[in-house]
Amino acid sequence: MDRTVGIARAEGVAMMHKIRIAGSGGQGILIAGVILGKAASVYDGLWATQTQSYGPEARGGASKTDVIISDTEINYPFIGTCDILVCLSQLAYTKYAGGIVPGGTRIVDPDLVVHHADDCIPINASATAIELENPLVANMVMLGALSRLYPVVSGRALEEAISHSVSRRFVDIDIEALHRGMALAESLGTGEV
Amino acid sequence: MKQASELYETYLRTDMLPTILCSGCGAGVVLNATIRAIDSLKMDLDNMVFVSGIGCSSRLGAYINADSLHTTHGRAIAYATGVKAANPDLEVVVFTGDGDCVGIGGNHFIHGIRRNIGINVIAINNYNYGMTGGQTSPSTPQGSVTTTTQYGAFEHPFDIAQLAKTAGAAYVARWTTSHPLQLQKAIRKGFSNKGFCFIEVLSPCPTSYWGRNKVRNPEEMYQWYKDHTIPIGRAEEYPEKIPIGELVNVEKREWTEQWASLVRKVSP
Amino acid sequence: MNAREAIGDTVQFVQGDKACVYGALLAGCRFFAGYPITPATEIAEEMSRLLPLIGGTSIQMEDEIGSISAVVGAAWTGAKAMTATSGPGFSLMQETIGYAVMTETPCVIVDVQRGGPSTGQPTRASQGDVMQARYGSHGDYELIVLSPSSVQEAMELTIRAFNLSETYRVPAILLTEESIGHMREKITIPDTVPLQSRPATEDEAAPHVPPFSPFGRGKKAFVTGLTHQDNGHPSTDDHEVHDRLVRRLCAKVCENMDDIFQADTVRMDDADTVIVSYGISARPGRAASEMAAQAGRKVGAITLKTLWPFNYAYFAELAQRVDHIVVVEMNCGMLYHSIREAAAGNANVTLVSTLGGKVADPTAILEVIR
Ligand SMILES: Cc1ncc(C[n+]2csc(CCOP(=O)(O)OP(=O)(O)O)c2C)c(N)n1
Ligand code: SF4
Repeated sequence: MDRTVGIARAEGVAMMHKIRIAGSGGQGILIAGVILGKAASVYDGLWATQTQSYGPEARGGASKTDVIISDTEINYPFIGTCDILVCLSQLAYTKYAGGIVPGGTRIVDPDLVVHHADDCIPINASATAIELENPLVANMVMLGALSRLYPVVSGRALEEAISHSVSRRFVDIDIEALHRGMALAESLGTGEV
Repeated sequence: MKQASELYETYLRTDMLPTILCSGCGAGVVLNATIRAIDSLKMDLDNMVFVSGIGCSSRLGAYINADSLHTTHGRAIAYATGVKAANPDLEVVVFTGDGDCVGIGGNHFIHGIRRNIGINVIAINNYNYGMTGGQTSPSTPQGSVTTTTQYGAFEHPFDIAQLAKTAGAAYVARWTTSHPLQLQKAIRKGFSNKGFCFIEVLSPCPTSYWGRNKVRNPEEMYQWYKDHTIPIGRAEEYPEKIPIGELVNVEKREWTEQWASLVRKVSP
Repeated sequence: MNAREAIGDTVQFVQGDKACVYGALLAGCRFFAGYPITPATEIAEEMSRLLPLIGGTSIQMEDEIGSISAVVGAAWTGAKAMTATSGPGFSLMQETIGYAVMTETPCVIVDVQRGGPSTGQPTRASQGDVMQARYGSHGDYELIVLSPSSVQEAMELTIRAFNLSETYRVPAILLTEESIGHMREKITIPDTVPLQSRPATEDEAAPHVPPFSPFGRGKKAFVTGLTHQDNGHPSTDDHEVHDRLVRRLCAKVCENMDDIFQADTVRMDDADTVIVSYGISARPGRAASEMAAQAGRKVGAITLKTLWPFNYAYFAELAQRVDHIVVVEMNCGMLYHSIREAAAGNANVTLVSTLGGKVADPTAILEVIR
């Protein structure tokens, strides 16, 4: 099965991708969304919007961010159903798994989302982060994997965005995690990446 | 001592006169004492800003021939904070009443003190809301008749100077209009303290307050403030009297000085 | 360090609240006073980080009344000053906003709207303060209210709010919403921006306003919220003085509509239907216009950047040209009423109203057009 999502770049047709990243507080969900949007817009010259849950919705541990990436200016910055969903908790999966377009992609961390549909792409982000001796970088592993499975932003742009977003002492480990995520996606053997 | 007429010419905005004050109003004494303090300190009026809220007491700023900001009821200290913080070189004086200062404006009062913003607040405590015709205020003595306490006030009044002291003001003094020279000296000392300076002046409002409380002629009023107060050093002997004098005079880092050093520290 | 250097990279991916701070600093704002409130707190936080770097002043006051009061005080020293809040705090500021109108004090107030009445929905967007922004204080007056529909515009319109506020010496309100305030988008930061200095400072003449004498220059300014003569002296009993003052304060804003009013239009050339919206509601408005175009319909979209003063002539003329005006707002209908009044029956005016933090869905707008 070719799990890489084709990116429509036909003449005259606007390219637009709606990405949702969800998990729980402390997993760096929001910063992952910010880095993704920043990479696409500031460093890849595209357009992006990033919104996130605030208030009661963001209490009780849940965390979610929506990123839209487009090659034209984005009118409507909100996501009903997304094209791609990244889940780092069972709770988030339960809440958002249904809100995806037909044929959309769902990426999950199988250690955290134990119950998931068969067509989900498993990326062992937290296990990889533990290997890197920093559980907090699972979000970057996911971003790396996402960038290969769904190549809407370049790896270079992600690296730039990371180095301009996180404090200096985390840049190296975050970029290493990003690369591990890319490698994980590639090792899935899912066709051209 | 300079003649009043000489001082008035130098310090008053003559085109605003006569004042709106009733005859016998203590606020005039406060205006006079303030002008004399400014004169004896040789302060530059062009560098002074008088900020006030709403009330009879708050009208004083209008009469001094300097920049003045006559603002909204209770908020003078907040406006003055903006003036001082934006231009620390200015000498900022606030005239306020008991209602303006610790009624509607109580929050700005305690927070101005907490910040130790370098402004000088002169509060004219006439025990009532004079401008609106004599309603009870946060400092109305128990038992007093006002238009909204027709059977006598029973709430516990604020001791405003004590409140300022407790909140941490750098300079606090209380005098009365029956002690004009001491008041003038206190204003001088207060102006010389760089921090938040607070001076409470017990002041008669013959029109709206004393008439209802059976003190009807100026001599009686003058004497009332003499009789009911006691120098702070002897206050313990006379617990029923109101202590007057200097309650606090300390050096304390002022807000704009602290901000300036923060700017120096962080600016590259 | 100058403001531009403090702001940093030319292209950034930031929240609307931050963009607003950037705009303010570029416009010359050097004084900020505020009080924390969702969803405007980020503005106070960013101001407290950046202002000391450029020699400005930032202070957290004890409440919103204190904040706007301090801003007015700072403005009278000659500083460009701003505060930021949301609905509950905006309500508290209203008396002083009227004071700033009456004393012709330039200042900028940012209201990042959330759902009300009362504490309502602190973390959800709304456009429920449109009327409060215009009518919240007592008495007759006019002021300037701008509404950005993107993060880039949050910066640009903050700059414009400062400049208009200076030109007309009137409070200018940047009326934005939680959704713009908290959303991140790409912005491009200019190296220089047009700067309006305060007109009629000291003695030089200005068309709309009497002289402004910043404190500390020996001009012995007297500033009062009482009805006053042009020299500032109170005159509270003469109806003619009051009449002249209030009408001049209103006219200096309303009679300069050409300068103050701005709207963006798309697909208006032969439109028979037009979607009118502002702020975050303009985003689905424009999306619906685009979807309609794909379906072969002639649906234009107007994004209002200036809400108040309300441009009656503009909408009267629009109603002559189109059959149907669809107004999209996140309230029960606020600007809708003024638009309908201006249309005077010459076009159908329909309201698409959303509440609860929900931004209208483009498809829901299309439903109304169909
Ligand atoms: C917001 C607001 N509330 C009420 C008033 C009416 N008002 C004007 S002066 C005043 C009381 C003033 O009392 P105080 O500060 O003690 O000054 P005094 O007139 O006694 O000198 C009041 C309540 C007002 N102007 N503004
Ligand atoms: S009403 Fe009282 S406080 Fe006001 S001016 Fe008259 S005497 Fe003074």
